[in-house]
Amino acid sequence: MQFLGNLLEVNNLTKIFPLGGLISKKSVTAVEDFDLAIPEDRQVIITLAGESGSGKSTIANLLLGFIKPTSGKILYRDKNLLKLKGMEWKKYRREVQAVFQDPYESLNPFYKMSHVLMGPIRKFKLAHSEGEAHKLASEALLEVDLNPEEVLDKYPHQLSGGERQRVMLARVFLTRPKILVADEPVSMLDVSLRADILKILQNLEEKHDMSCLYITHDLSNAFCISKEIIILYLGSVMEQGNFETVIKNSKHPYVKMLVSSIPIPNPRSRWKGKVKLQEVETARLETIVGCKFCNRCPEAMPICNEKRPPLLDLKENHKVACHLYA
Amino acid sequence: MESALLQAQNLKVYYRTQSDPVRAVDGVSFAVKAKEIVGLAGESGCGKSTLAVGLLKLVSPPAYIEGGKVLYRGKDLFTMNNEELRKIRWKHIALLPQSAMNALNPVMKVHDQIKDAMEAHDGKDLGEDLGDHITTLLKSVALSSRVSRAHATELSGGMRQRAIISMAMALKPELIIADEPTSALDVVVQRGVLELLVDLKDKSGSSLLLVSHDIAILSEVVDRLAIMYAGKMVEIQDVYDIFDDPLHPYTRGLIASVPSLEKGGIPRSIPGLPPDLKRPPPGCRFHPRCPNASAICTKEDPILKEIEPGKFVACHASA
Amino acid sequence: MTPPSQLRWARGSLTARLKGLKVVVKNRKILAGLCMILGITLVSEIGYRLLPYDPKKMGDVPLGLPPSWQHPLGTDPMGRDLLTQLLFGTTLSIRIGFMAGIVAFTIAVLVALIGGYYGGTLDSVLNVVTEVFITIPSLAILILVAALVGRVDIPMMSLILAVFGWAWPCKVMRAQILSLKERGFIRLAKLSGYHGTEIVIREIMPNMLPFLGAYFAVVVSAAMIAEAGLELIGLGPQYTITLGIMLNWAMVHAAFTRGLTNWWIPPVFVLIWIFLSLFIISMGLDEVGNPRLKVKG
Repeated sequence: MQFLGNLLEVNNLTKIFPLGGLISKKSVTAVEDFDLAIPEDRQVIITLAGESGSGKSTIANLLLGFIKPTSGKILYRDKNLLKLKGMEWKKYRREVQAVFQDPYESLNPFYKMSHVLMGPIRKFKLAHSEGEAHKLASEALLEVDLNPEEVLDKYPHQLSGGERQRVMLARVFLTRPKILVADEPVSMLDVSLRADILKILQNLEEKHDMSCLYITHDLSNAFCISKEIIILYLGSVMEQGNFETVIKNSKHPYVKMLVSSIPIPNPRSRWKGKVKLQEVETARLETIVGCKFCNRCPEAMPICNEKRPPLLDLKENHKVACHLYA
Repeated sequence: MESALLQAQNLKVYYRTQSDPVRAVDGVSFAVKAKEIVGLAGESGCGKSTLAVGLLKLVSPPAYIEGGKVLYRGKDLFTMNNEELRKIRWKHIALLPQSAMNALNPVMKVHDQIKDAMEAHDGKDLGEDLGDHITTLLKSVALSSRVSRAHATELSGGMRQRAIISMAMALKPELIIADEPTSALDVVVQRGVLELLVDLKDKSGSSLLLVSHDIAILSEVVDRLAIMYAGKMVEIQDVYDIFDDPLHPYTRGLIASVPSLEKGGIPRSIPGLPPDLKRPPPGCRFHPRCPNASAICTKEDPILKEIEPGKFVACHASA
Repeated sequence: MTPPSQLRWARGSLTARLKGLKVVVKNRKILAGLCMILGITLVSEIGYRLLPYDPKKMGDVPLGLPPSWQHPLGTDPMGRDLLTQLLFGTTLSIRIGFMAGIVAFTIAVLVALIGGYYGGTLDSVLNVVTEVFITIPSLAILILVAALVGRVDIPMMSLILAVFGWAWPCKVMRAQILSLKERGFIRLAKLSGYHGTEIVIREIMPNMLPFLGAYFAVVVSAAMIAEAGLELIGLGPQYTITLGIMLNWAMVHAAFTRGLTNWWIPPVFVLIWIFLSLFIISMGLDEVGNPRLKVKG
């Protein structure tokens, strides 16, 4: 049964969190009007980038079905995520997996490492016997360069951070998802270990039919394996498109500021000029009608205060949400 | 070394365990000159943070100073009595430990904490001038005076870090040792805080020792870069020289393992893992992972040598 | 390659729990505490049957004798052997305390799990109920109920104690579950296709083991204190002998002021012994629940 549409399609996704008690009307718009499409017929690693407060982790939780959207739709194989039941829901669970930032947090300290691998094997019926299950788990561990005999029988605290994260990836090999939501998969690892994890992700994309939504604040790592990027700021998309284009030819003032601040390991490519830091905390006003970046923007115009900039099409999939390009 | 502000000579800081001690800093010598920014880089577990606290004899059990000297303007800090050492700390040398911004008291106003810090180390009561003093201090780190009335929890990470920096600068130290000052901060804020540190250093004529695992960050601001591996200092060079021509194989591997927006592609990681510091390998500690290792590397531990003025490396291949 | 049978795996949730139990029993503190409580239960259960005296029958033996070989603790002013009373009373006290404890504990766990994990309006309702039971001056109500009911028998006693014993541990357990619910491994379990109840049993419960044990010890101890307290002031199954009722008799006959230490010290000692054994068990469970302490990592 061929399905050649979008595996995952997100339309106008919005999530508003209420703050305070019953009486207070304050709220935080974590995500606003977010769109995304992951096709079935090819594999992509899309970077979802943003600093703290950008809403990227909220998007991850929404896509994984942990929280419900306030408005907008998430469609999996053309069906609304909220309405999936039975076999369709099981298929979604099987085909959409995740890797999180802190592998220690993702492990139940009461059990040995085998537990986290046996879980999906049992639930997704990947094996029909104890022996087969063990074989599958071992093969998955070998794919990530871990020795099953040294890992399966140990407790989480007996392994290093790098080993734990590899076990998380072994779990991905086991479940063979179509989409992997990777939320800061390398940020808690030593620099020298990151390359290995990135290689594994690339391998999964190239050889195992897996698309990946790589969520991070660290563009340098994502750039190694991803070709498309979406940059968020306070819940809204500021710019998106081909990674190299967005980096080398940034259009949005926020993106320009962000990209220019990313440290380059080369003393001959140092920061030029200086950034201006905020003197006082500006509250995240939910009553901002204009552009969310306008109070920090060096190129702000009057219209920026009044109207939200729509996401405009520049050439070749490059999009910007900025009045400068209207 | 002339004009050295702070000089460590063969410093050893070990950690006591139930078995062999962990040799976290095992005979490290290096110096920080006046008005310079030195970066101290290395992976986690290399001993750089231990070195940072060791320099000021601020190690707490199970860590202990096994040997060596630390000279500040020629005076041995380790032979001073506690009172003298306390005066040196904060007034002359300020330490910003890792995660200092999380150590701010959540129930105290920023104003009161700065006041406490100043009184604890200076002993003087500034009386009415205190308020102005604090406002000036906060302004120097680009924080409005309104921040002084806030509590730490009301401030973002970047602002808390700046508040901490302002406390460290309060007594105008000659040397600031900052351990991972920006690791938990957003990219733009990180740049801002580092630029601020450099700015403050320029204005007050002090020196800065930046400790970080992130050589990309260090390459943006430092004058000299010192690389540590497994408790040993393996290379110290001017930052431009070290990137143009890294002398130690570990430095080469480290630089190659950092992703860069300039280069793209997955960087090459160094195969293997850092050694167990309870029982480090014989000879050079890096030899099991070194592409250029030879017979002598497995037997003799290379000493940090100045092969050319300003270029230090601990490697048999470059002797 | 080592065959699967030699590698210990987390098999289905049932086996995981059984394996958990095995680990639990191997812990020294748990063993010690269990020995203490089982020991005293056995000694008293067997002991009173071996002695020829009837603990309840007045005039069974000569009145008011001091300790002797025939009556190691002496006899009370109503002509009953005190040692037999002690042993018999211990068995009943333990029975009442544990029955109350088990009922209270079960209610507490169920309410905490259902409310804490599933949340929503159900949780809000359960939370209110729990708070009400915490705030009610339980001892006053206990006294009232006991007085109104008239003849209180053992099952009724346990029930009364349970009704007021479940609320506070429940509140604490719920807070714990709420925090466990946010842990990353819960998310991963969901991604593996597990549903609510499965997650509760498989992922949350094992992590609560030390706390469950501690709470159980608290609940049972609290039940026994309440029981002794009620009986001390004359409310309780008056027709029989428990540790509290022994103390009640002692009080009524001014044993404290008359210095009849052979009468009142033994029951107090036994109560302390029981509390201590439960406490040691809970300490042991704390070690078990934290594998870091178990295996040198």
